[in-house]
Amino acid sequence: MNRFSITRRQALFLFIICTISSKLQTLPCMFSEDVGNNLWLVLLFGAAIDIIFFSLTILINHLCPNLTIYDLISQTLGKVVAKLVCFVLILYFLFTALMPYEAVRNVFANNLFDTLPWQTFSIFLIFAVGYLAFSGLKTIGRSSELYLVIIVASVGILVVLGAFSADFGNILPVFNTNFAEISKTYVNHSIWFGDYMIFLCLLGRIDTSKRALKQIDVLIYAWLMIFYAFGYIVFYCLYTVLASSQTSLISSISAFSLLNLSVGRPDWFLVLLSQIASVLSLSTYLYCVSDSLNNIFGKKHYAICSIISVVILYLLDFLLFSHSGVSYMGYMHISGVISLCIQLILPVFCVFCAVLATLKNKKHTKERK
Amino acid sequence: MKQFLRKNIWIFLIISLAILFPQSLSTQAELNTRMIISGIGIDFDGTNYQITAQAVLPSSNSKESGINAQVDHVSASAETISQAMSEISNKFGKNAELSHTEFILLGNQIENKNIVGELDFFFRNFKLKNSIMLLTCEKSAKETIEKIGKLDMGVALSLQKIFISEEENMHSLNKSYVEFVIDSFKPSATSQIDTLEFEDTEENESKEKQSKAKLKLNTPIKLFKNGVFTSKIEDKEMINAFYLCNKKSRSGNIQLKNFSFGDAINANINLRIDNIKTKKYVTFGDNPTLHVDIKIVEASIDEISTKGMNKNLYRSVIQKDLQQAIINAAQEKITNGIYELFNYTKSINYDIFGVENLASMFNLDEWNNYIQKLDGKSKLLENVSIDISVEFDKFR
Amino acid sequence: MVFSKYLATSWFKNNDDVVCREITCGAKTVCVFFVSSMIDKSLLAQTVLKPISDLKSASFKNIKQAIFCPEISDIENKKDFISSLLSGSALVFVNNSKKAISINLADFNVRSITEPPTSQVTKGPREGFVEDLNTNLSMVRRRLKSPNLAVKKLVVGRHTKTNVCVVYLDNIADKKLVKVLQDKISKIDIDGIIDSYYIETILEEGKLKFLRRIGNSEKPDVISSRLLEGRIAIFVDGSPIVLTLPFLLIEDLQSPEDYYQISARTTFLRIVRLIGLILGVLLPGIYVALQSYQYRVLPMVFLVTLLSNIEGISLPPILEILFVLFLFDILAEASARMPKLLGMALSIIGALVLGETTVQAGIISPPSIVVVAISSIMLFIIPDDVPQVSLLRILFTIVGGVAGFYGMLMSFIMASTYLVSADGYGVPLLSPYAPTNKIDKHDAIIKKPLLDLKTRPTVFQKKNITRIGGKKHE
Repeated sequence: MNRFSITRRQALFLFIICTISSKLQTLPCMFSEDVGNNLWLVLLFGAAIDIIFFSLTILINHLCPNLTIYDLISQTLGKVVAKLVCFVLILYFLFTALMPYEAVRNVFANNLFDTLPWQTFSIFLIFAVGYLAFSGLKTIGRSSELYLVIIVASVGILVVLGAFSADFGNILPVFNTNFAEISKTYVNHSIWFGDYMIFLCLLGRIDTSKRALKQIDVLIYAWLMIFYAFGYIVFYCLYTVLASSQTSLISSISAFSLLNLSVGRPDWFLVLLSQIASVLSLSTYLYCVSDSLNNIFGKKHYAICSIISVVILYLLDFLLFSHSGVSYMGYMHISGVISLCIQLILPVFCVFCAVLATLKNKKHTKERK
Repeated sequence: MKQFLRKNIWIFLIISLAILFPQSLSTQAELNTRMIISGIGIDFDGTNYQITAQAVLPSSNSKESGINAQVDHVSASAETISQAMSEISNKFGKNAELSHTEFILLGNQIENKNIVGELDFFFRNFKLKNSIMLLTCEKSAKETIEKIGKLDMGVALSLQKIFISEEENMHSLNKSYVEFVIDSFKPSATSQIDTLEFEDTEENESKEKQSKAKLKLNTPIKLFKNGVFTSKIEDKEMINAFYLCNKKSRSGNIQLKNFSFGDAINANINLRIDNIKTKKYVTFGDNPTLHVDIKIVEASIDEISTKGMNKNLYRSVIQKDLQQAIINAAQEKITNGIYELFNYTKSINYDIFGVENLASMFNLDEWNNYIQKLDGKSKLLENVSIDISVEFDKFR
Repeated sequence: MVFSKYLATSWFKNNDDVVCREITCGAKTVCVFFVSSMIDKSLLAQTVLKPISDLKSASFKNIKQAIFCPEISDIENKKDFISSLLSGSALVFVNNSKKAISINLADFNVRSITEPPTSQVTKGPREGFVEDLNTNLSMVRRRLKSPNLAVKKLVVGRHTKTNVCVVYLDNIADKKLVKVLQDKISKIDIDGIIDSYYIETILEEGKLKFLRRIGNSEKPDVISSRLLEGRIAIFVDGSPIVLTLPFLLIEDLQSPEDYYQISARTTFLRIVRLIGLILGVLLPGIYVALQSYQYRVLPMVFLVTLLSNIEGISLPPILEILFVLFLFDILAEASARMPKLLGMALSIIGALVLGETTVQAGIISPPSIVVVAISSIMLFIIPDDVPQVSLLRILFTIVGGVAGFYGMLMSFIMASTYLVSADGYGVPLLSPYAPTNKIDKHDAIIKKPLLDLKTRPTVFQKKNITRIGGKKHE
């Protein structure tokens, strides 16, 4: 295993952590504003689309196991196209990284730490994320193995705590919204989906010699989404019409618990631990950005690329949300459409390249014989 | 580059900490600048809001634990609640810390306003717990809240815990303010709040007259619709019936007065019921019917008080027909209580059992058809009937 | 090279303890050089001087045959002559001859074998290494009577000429790593090696020396079991501490007696140590963060108790805790160095000063003493001394005071990133948890019964991993 490889298991853990970060924070609050009690349907709808494209990613891995996306495209369509795709990926992951970044802000600024301005205490976050991204994919992969149990246990306990206080009747009636509303909501918030893009970017870096990516990984994703849908249901049942005014599912779901009368707020420690998921997912996205930057410039200055990506992220947040007057919702609606196009077109494009590459290889093999 | 950073990263970290460190030294512990507020009372005199805050004062003797803390009450008036809260902070000389607030007490004048609107300040404050209990009182909140200081300290600081445990025993209602707001936005828009009352007791101890207060339970329940006060339930049977139909009730007592069986038995029986399961649903025929199914898994006789001796009642195992008679009497009492409650609230067009909520969840189309047939929403409950079923599982 | 008495004396002209004994054998003179403080003189007289004096003719061959010592070797140059003499050998040569004979008669006063103060156990062997290399090697040899036990001797240090032995089991250890270590040690260019720590420092990989990547122990049973796992041990003459490579961080949570008691208890104790380590490092920081920023986490009653205790304390919480940490560290250092006779008196003063006086004076509050005391005790439950955690504790306290729980979380993530990314000679330090290794987890935090530990740790090497059952391995 070279410096930039992670095992299939680590990649899967990383993927799970990224889904926790993207699905269990601000997203359900925004869904409830649009579709009310049918927020879980939007999640499952988005997950169904993601499953299809996740399967495409697995297909690419089967066809060309040890090639990165850059290698694959440059072999079939040339380096210029490959660099263009890398540029698209840089923009995609940078703008996607803003989402968990803002989610961390929502959790901490309102609940746990409200005396320092965001620009100041986000420096700590930048340090942590930057250091992780700087340390490389191997470190990120190992960290995912180390933290997965802690994060999943924290999230699980929080959801269960919330479930004890929830009146599940509040989710009724189901299916009282039409397909158009659901799909519109999905499109507007599609930037939170597309977690399989991480796999796409990490193709060729995942060590699949012992065990390749398989359909079982898709099944794991499906089960995860079912659990998240349950979390959404609990969240809505607790808050109903007030769900849209909450900032984050993770910090709000245990707020009704009566534990605080006797033992204080231990659930805040769990919220804190679950934020490790945000840090890891941010570092993964930034790794993808720096890896794509590396591919574009063709030199192995990974360290500089990771620092540049971290600085760009900080500046993007500073310029976009803090000073320009761009609203969070407005940003998401615009970026949602663009990100959806990238999420849908790029995997198909890569499958096309993989098929071309496979045919080319077969032709070469035949010619040699 | 990587080597350079690895070599010098410690310098960057030390410089950052050195810059940030003085900031943490500049002020005292933030805790010392805060006053812990355990309860808030809200009154309204027509123009201004009067907020009474119950603050917990730490014991000056550091060897004593927190349970020996004293409570102090400070009031302030202003045009808005947030201004009044600032005034309170000024009076204390410290910032009012609301993260440990356990209850919000609404004075009798404020019931005339829309409570949902009045709670806006608390709702927007993220530091407040969602589980803060909402209470009302018969007098002004200031008067009532000051009486809490006369309670036993263990009670004063754990008022909400008492309400929670008594709710399971059908003696009180613990409604959080967020729950109140959520209920007000549901289709039936009805919500109920318990009343905080005290029994005054005076004890003469040597030369000094000490006034002590005792918390009262099974107090009237105030009914709110769309956040506005509608009516209240004072009758004990109706209050019992209400608690019995509350999902959070687990156990309670039913008193059968002047119970007769056979010739000579004329007793008051206190029946203990445990593990209560309540189910409510709506069916549609010509008109909607609310079904209330109450299943009492365990029931036992707590106490029988008679004028004379009756060996039938003193047996450790009550004979079957007597048992059945007691059960029948209990069923009748429960059913009557629920009927009374339903009819009373129906008469004031108050959907106490959430018929509209249930119908909207499970039978939305049928309910919409029913509403269309009606002449305005004011007669929503007119044609709704109730079917009550009370079942006893085990009787000891 | 021609050895003569005059020449050899000139080499040691400043050394009055180097003695030359001349014996006349026939026409020739035999010179016996030795350092009087380093050899067994009676043995010298019996096995060297007497046989030589009985010889009729002195030749190199005759002298060699006459000497009744087991360890003799030929010396042909000045360098070997000097190093042998200064290592405790007696050098015998015929005056103006080309060869000399080195006879090992070293007799140093060494410390007796006792239980090491840093690794005390309630159950199991209590032997500890001493400063003599040969004694230490003998203790390991007694436990590993295998011909595969390889001992490679190297000499390091321009002035000290310290003997360093690389020890490993030939059929188990990673040969590449052995070669790397031998090359590194042989290339050490330093004036002297006083302790194994010098070797440890030189062998440490990476510029950032915050975390050690080499293990150590003072106990022969521990070293033997590590050799059996496939590790390599480095013995340094003059040091009771033996180094082992590769190193895993989990070793710091393991005690030698873990292997001499039931596995359920061992697992429980290891979990306690882990929790103790984490809490010990984080507790002062958590206390500062709770007071400064996140007091909303505390239940009401506890919060009021805390308020009543900190009322009137002039120091900000971060300074208060740092002050108490500093006091505790001073006490710990003083108790390690104070004379035993004064121990009791100073302990009382320390307790009075900290416990009563400073609290009553309002300089510090009782909870801060409790917090720091608990934290310090928790750190002492780690079997091997981990001094770095005291520094980490201070760092987390400062971060907690600056940025509360949030800052502590970010710092924790950065610290764990550093740990996760750290490799020692190709072996990840946090193995078997990051990266996950299912087989090696059987003896990490959770310890399976001895008979279930069928394989050696696979993170070190992949060959010959079966320990229990399977084919016999010689």
